Amino acid sequence: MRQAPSHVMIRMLVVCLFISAPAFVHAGQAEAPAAFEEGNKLYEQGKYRDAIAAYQQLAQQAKASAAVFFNLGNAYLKLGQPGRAIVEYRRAEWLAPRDPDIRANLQAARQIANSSAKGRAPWMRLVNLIGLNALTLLVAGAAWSFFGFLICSRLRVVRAHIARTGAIASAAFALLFGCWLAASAYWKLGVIEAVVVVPKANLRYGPLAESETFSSAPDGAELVVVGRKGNWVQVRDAASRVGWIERTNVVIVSGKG
Amino acid sequence: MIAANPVQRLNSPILQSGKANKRLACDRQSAKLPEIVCALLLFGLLNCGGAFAAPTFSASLDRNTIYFGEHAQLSLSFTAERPQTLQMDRPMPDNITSSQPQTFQRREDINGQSTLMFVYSYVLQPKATGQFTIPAITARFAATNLTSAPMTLRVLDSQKLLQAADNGGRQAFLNLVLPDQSVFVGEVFPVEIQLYVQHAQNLRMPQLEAEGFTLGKPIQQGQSTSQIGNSIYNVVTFRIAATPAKAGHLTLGPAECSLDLRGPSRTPAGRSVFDPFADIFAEWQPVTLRSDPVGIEVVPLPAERQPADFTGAVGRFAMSVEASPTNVTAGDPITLRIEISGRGGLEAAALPEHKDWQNFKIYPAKTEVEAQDPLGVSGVKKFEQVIVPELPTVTAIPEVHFSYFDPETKTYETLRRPAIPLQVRPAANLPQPKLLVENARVAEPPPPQDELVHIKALFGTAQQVRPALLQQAWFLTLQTVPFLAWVSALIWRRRIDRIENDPRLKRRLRARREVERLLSKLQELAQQNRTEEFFAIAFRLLQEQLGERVDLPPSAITEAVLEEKLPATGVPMEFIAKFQALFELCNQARYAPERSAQELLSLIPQFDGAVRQLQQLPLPVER
Repeated sequence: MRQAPSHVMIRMLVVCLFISAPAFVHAGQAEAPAAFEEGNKLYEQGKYRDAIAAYQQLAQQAKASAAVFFNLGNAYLKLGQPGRAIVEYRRAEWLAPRDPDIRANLQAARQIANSSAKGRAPWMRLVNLIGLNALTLLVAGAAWSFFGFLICSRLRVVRAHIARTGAIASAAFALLFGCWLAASAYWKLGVIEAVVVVPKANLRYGPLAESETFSSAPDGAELVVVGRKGNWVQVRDAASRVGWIERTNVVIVSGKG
Repeated sequence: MIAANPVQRLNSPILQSGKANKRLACDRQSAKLPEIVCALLLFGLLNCGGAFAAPTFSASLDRNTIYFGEHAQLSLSFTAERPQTLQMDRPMPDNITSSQPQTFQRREDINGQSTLMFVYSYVLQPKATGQFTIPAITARFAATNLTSAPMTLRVLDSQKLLQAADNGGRQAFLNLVLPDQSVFVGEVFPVEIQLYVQHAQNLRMPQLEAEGFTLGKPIQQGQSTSQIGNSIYNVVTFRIAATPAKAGHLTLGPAECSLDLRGPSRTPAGRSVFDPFADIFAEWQPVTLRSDPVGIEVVPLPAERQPADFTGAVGRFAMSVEASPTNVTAGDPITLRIEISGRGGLEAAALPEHKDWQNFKIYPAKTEVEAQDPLGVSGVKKFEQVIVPELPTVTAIPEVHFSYFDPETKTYETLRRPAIPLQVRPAANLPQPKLLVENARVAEPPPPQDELVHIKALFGTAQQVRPALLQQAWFLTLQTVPFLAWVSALIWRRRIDRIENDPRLKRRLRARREVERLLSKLQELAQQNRTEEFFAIAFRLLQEQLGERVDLPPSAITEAVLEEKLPATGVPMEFIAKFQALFELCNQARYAPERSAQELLSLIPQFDGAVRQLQQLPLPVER
């Protein structure tokens, strides 16, 4: 029986995608740059400052891998700077959210920093299980699939009951992951945090050097940013106390890690 | 090269040069003091720049190991100003003779700044084999005194060298020189790689096989000449710091060095030593020289009397400790700076654990090593550690101690710095001390850094760190595509359904398509001058369009139908007459088919115009 041209084309498209997928994956696998190898060598020699300089060369090129940020975090931790280590681990986690090594070292850094963030709620871990971009692509894929079935139904290229079942399944999938995406986007894009990167950062009542200090945050403390003014950042700590902290004492990171 | 520290002037025999040397020669004659091998030098000139920069002084030997019959070069280098006097803390060894100094200036780039350097160079000629100590030299400047560290010059029997050179038969050879005596595990010692070569180019840094050793970065120390037999060699000396990692009889080497050696010249005068073009026309042959491996006995550190806080540092060190601020509120950070300076394995030097510092929160120390010589054998290791007194009852930072093994005295030494007094005020918002102590007890100790997952060796997939897809306009815009496609499909389906449900509309659309096809066919036939087929198609064209108008099959359209049906549809009479004329023309052509292509082409607009006008007329039901 001769197949309809549209069916043949769809099948060819799917086959082409499968064939070309490994090529796309391979294209993303970059060879390790010399700076990365040099950083690893310096790290192994215990020259952590030099290793950091080498890794940062890559990080500043805006094209790095999770491994670069992970190694950078390790080097900072070896230098006794848990705050900066936490920042780098969180950047690594952004790129590779399911990497258990990153999670383990981030937890270790938080323990060293005695950070209140070490006890994230289990549902937060679930939200972070899949990266934001991966979730977005899943939801977009489900939406495209839903509309694809509707279009196929209208064009009558598939049987009506197949199109209906496919559309319902796609809609359910999109709804489920859409909710997940909404929660993830809220925590990762809606919440901005500041990580303290100095041994002790003073929390003041106002955004002035003359303002009275009422508390302090240790190196590695992760605080929620609620406002900014000039060189000052208004933050809320784990005890829900709101105060102002100098911008140079913290590194701003997007979302909750 | 050994950096110097300011010290007091020492009263001892001296090394001299210049005017002071002459003056001292006079003194020697008059005072008859032949035991003075070296004499006092006076350098009266002060460098103008000395008023603005602190002077520095370094002393170095071009080679630490030479063979009997060779000479070594001692260089004293000064920046910022010339020294007023130079003085040795004890006499030069009897078996070493020193030449008059050659003084010169050179510019060097140090940390990106061009610095004028004053150099005094002495040739040291040994009279016997053995190990000799070049005494410490004190340079006296206008505002300060600087003293170099003593240096060791080893003079070896030249027999081995003669064998290596094969009585001058070889153009180049490599010689590996190690200390005579055994070394301890962890002890840093210099290894010399001496390259004897007559003519060479493209010299690469030598590589050294060193299983069981940790090697530093090789440096090229100096260059000199040496005569072995009848051959003159350039001697290039490389040094590298080696640290044994295990005990036993270990082997260092062979050392390998790649270079291009000059082959025979292709000029007729190629064999002449006076040939000025020998280098240009010579054939250079790449070769890899290999030295003999050398064994060395590595002794383990003694287990007896090893201090409990010993962390593995081997060498000779000094320690300084400072803390600031010392007047703080409980919970405020104090920066503790500890500097371990000296000669030895600084990289391995680590501070012992602070076991008796319970009242302090201690952050991991930041460490930094500053080498004071190119070889990295001597330098300073700086520990910067943040400590936080948690209780107002703290009165002092406890004693800091550091133990090391001295390979020269073969004993363990412990450096101690006394407790630093502190004034700790209670913090306003600090909880009760008792509570703090309880918290401290229940708090989890930070995990040791050894528990960290090690760094990743694989780079992984490179990803651009950019905003999330959700925040990118192109991605959001792209998501409208399936929706728009679905809307388009919906509209298309409705149109198709409407056509399917309306036969007249379907007929009209089909007739229009057919008319378009037939018109283009007419064009083709006219160009091919196929008259008969042209009029047949023209007839069919009229039938198609009229059939659609009167809702009859095209084959049913005749001139009679034209007269009968069309007036009823409200078509103006002039239209009907026009169609009748066209039908008639087609009928006539059946009997007189010969027409030219031009005639046929001129007829097409008539047919075209007629059907277009008819298409624009409303259907009877639509009126």
